[in-house]
Amino acid sequence: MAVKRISGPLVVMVFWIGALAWLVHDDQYQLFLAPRFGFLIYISLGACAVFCISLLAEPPGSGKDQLIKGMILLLPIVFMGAAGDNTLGSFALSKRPVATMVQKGSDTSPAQGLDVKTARDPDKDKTQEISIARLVRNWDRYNGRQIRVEGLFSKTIEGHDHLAAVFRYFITCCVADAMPVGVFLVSPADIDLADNDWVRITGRVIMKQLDGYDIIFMETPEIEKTEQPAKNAAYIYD
Amino acid sequence: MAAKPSLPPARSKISDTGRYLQMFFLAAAILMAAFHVRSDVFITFSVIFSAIVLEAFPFMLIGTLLGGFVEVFLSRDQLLRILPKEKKQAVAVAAFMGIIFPVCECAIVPVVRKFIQKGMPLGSAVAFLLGGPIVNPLVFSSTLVAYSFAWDVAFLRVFIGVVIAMSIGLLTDACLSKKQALLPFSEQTGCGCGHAGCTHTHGIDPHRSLGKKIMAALSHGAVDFYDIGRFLIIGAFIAAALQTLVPRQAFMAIAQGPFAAITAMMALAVALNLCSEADAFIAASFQPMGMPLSAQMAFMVLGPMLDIKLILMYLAVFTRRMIFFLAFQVCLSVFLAMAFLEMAQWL
Repeated sequence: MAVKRISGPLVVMVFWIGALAWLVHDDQYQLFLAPRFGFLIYISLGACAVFCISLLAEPPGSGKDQLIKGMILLLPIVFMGAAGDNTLGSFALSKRPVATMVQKGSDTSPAQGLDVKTARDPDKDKTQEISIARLVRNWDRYNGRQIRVEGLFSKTIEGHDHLAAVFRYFITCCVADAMPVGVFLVSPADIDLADNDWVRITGRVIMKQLDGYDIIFMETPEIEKTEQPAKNAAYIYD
Repeated sequence: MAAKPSLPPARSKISDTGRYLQMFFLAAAILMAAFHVRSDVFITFSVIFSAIVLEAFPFMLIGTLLGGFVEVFLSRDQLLRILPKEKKQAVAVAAFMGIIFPVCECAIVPVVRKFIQKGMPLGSAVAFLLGGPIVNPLVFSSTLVAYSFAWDVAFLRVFIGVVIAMSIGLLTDACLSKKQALLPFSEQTGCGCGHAGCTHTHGIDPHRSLGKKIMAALSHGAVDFYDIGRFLIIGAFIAAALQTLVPRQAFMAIAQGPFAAITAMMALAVALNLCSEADAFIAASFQPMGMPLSAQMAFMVLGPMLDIKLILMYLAVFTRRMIFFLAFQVCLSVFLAMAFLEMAQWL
């Protein structure tokens, strides 16, 4: 009797409940979605649960192509598992232009929050440890200054083998809208670094032109390899 | 109401070609996962594919759930009472129905499918389908935020979206009959259920208890999701492949001049399959690269109406002829509207 209640849609829903629970556990979903959209996972979980209950109460009849439909619906779970703890890295960077300024919410204007007195600060040569997000949002404040930032390392840039980059990704909703932001530098010759290593770089930043676009460029940087602070540290959520 | 086990499935004449294509897709995806699991390309693809699905998944579930409740709780007469009897007025009202049903483009397809089954006129359904995700208050708010509270940009997006939705709704009514535009599921009378092998009794029966009606609505939603969810997955898969393999710089390279920029941004909107609640942020991110506002607007107006996953989801509602008609009209209208704004230098 109970077996008769097991249908294709029910099996799919049960698998999805398992996958969504895994995503909620340890905030795994933040490797795909911005944290503020975590509620979407809970909505999915709730909807799948009520669908499951209803399918047990009112089992649907059999229909055409049930197996194909079910397997296609389960496919994303396989790919989520394959993605594991990985984030976008230097391969994705090669397919996206790096943004030098981020237009978002109250931080739209790069000049916003610019304090002229700060720009003429006598401590101008003092190294400031900042995030890449802060750098691109307040570029005018840091233009020409000595800074230290952390991010993923890319040995080369598409079409410019002599340039490297330290970057992270701005995420608005999900990884599909990821926009790389970062700092360019001359590719260091004698350093044992691989793509996607987490690094901290220190140097003076200036604006330069590359293929007609403004880029943030760091002059003679000091580079040190460091531990990735968190599994989703490649992403800057806004 | 008596059960109708012999009702045809949503796509009663699902062609062998369609079935083979889905089997091919499934086999290709599994082989890809098996042989490329360690490569950078595969990991990037997996992350993007999962992200697109996870973002759209709840909206799809909500859409099918809403559709289930429409099926059980909203009678044909009740639906027709909401809309004016006069066709043009009905189309105009339907284009704004997204304010009452604030669903994004993933959720709207199953809702529209259910509305059509309930007897919504074709033109009105098209106007709701195209206009709904743009007039959605959440989409309006996200556009406002993305463009730093530039009210003119947010209102212009809604205005252009509604005008295009109404125009295409009216044009569809004038050019195509329901039979030419819709799959056979819409022609069913009685319970209106289009599910494969459905054995439910349906909620319009006034003698059913509320609890049973709710259970029937949920069960309907679940089966609907099972029936059309695959189109979302296949669309997300193609979109993720494009995002992974095609450099965005290529779009920028061909976007020289305003008209080329409009075309390139339209192509990008179709390829990226972004949620209408997020696309304004991406459109705004092109501003520093010198992308004209008309091209950004083209991206924001076209995206909620037409992208790869939507085209595939439309297969659950419309005939191929209708999908071609819709795709052509939407692309043409968006391009002409933006070209006009560009020439008039209103942007």
